[in-house]
Amino acid sequence: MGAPEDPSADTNPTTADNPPVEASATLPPSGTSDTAQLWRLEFSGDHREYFRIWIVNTFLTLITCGVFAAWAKVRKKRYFCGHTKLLGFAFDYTADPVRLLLGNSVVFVLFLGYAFFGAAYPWIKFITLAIGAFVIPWLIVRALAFNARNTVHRGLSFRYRANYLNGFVTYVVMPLLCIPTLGLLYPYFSYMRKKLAIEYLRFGDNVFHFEGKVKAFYGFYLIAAIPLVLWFIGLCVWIALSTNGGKKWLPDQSEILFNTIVSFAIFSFVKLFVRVRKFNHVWNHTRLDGHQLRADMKFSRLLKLQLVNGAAVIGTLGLAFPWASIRLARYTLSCLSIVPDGDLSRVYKLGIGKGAALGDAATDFLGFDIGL
Amino acid sequence: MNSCLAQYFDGLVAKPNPVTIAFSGECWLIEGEGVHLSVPTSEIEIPPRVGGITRFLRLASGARCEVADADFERIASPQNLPPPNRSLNLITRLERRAKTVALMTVLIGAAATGSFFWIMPQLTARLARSLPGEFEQKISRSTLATLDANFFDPSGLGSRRETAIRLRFDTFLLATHYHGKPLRLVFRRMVGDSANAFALPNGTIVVTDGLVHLARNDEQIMAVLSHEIGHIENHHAVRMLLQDSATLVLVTALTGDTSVVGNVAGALPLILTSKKFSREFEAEADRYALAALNAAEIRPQKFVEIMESLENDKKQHEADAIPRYLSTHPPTEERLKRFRSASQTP
Repeated sequence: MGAPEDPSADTNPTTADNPPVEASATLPPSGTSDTAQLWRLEFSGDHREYFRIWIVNTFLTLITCGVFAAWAKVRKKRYFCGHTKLLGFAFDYTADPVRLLLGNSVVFVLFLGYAFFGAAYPWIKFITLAIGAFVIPWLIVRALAFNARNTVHRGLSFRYRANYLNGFVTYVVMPLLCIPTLGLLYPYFSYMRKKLAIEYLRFGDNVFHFEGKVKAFYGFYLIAAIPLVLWFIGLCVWIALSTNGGKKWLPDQSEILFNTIVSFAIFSFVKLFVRVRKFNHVWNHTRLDGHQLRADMKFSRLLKLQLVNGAAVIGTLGLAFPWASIRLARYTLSCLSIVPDGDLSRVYKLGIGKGAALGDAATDFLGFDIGL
Repeated sequence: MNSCLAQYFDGLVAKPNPVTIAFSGECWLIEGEGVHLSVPTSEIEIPPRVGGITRFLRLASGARCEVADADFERIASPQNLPPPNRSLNLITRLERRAKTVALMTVLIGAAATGSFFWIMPQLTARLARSLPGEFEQKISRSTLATLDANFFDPSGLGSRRETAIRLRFDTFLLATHYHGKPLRLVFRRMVGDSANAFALPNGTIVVTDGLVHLARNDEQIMAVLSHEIGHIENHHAVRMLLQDSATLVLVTALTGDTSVVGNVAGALPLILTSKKFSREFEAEADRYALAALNAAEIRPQKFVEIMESLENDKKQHEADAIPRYLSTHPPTEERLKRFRSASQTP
């Protein structure tokens, strides 16, 4: 659907990884509510408030020709992180916009090389792709580390232990293998992406463990493939019928438009289905030491939400985008919970160096999905 | 002095410590059970407000205080906020004023609309004009080949009729003092004997047998041709080709390399057979046709007549899906009025 990605859950793998708790207006005294049976995340973002932030971000980004984008991104993340609370304590996003700007600039130059000059001189495209094969996994891993390191909860930051070899295998080898196997390895590729994002993540000295099953990924991807296969068969039949008897046939505009709309609808529907199943499976099989995460997102609910979001954004020519973002974030966070294993106050600090900003910018600019 | 409640985290363990914070002299005072700190403003970072999120006071030691926004604003003042934040705080103040927000929304909308409706069409027009001749030849030839393969059979008019029409056309061009690119008429029989005419970028105009049979006299054929020349002179087909590819237009405009347009030229047959020209393009071609017909002393009414014939013909063949002239050139009342009223003036 034409609706926005959930900003907090998709771009910051860490915000949802915390035990949820009952909402409270004032900060609770330490220790007492930590031992409740089920913790839930609380989201206090308001769309009226966010609209102002979003419009000013957009305006300033436009008049500075994109330079302000780094500050805009930090403000947006601070907004969503700051309004997300666990047991009454919020999340702080501490990234320095200047470093993001630096990353943005480098990525912009690379992208310029590929799209711009690549359109005129194809050999530039090949060279940039070859370089990209080695640079992209590095960028993604750095981005994971950067985002983790710059998210702080209860005074402790998250950490991501960078493993470049795994990044290379996940983001270069796997996609390449998908080609000769005609996409049959794609669910496995999807599984590996989630594993890469979670397995090396820590909160203080507690470690995240991803216990997802490859079998489950194949399960929901195969179910999702059914409508796609049916659509493809239908398309072939339609083409065969239209060119029957050797009649000269070129599709006219209304036929192409119809086909485009139908395929877009089917793809969006299927993508949403996979998203819900993946979200639930990944979170239900992730734990932070003894704390077990839980997810209970409903496909029908998300479908309705995204349909309304999409219609609103299109109908208002984009002005409803902040409203749609808030709605999506609120619902996504409401689906998460944690079955705690004791007190969260016993987590201790762990020391590693700060991640480079370069990684974070690249994934945003190129639209990579490193979220969960 | 002003103080408020906060939670203190020492940065070494995730345990919260309820404290009271206050600003006095040059320092922030943080007081609570087991916590007695006096932190100078140089050692504390307070990020600017963003909406109503929880405020964080980040200490250089790695510790931090977490305060509710409303509480913090009660005790915050220009003195205790670190300098670098003042410009970003300005942005926060801007956000709070509804008028500024409304103004920005309007400006963004204007910029988006302006670039879409004015800048892009300007660029595509300039680009279409500057395409080299060999390039136009190439895409026109390949388009004709595709149309021949999918829609056309050789014409059944006979060489006498073809020559007659071509002569009439040459006379017509002389009368209108035509100085554009060399034009060439080719005749084809279209599937279902459909009445149609296509103008290719290199000056080739395809006329179908169906159209020739439908016309009651040669002047009506000239009327349609004059409109098609209008499309050629104004590069409408190429502009339509480019309109859907903003990236391509930007790349070509800025690098000056026009060969990349070849990437989308394959869509030309489809555009010619099914896409309607925009109202502006139709009006432009109509204006050209009117001027040309006047110069050649052909009554503009001839154009209306052939359109009406085409309309009747279309009604008779409504069921089949074969592209016809009217699918790409809908005869709106607005268009016909232009020709009708021109005929009435003596």
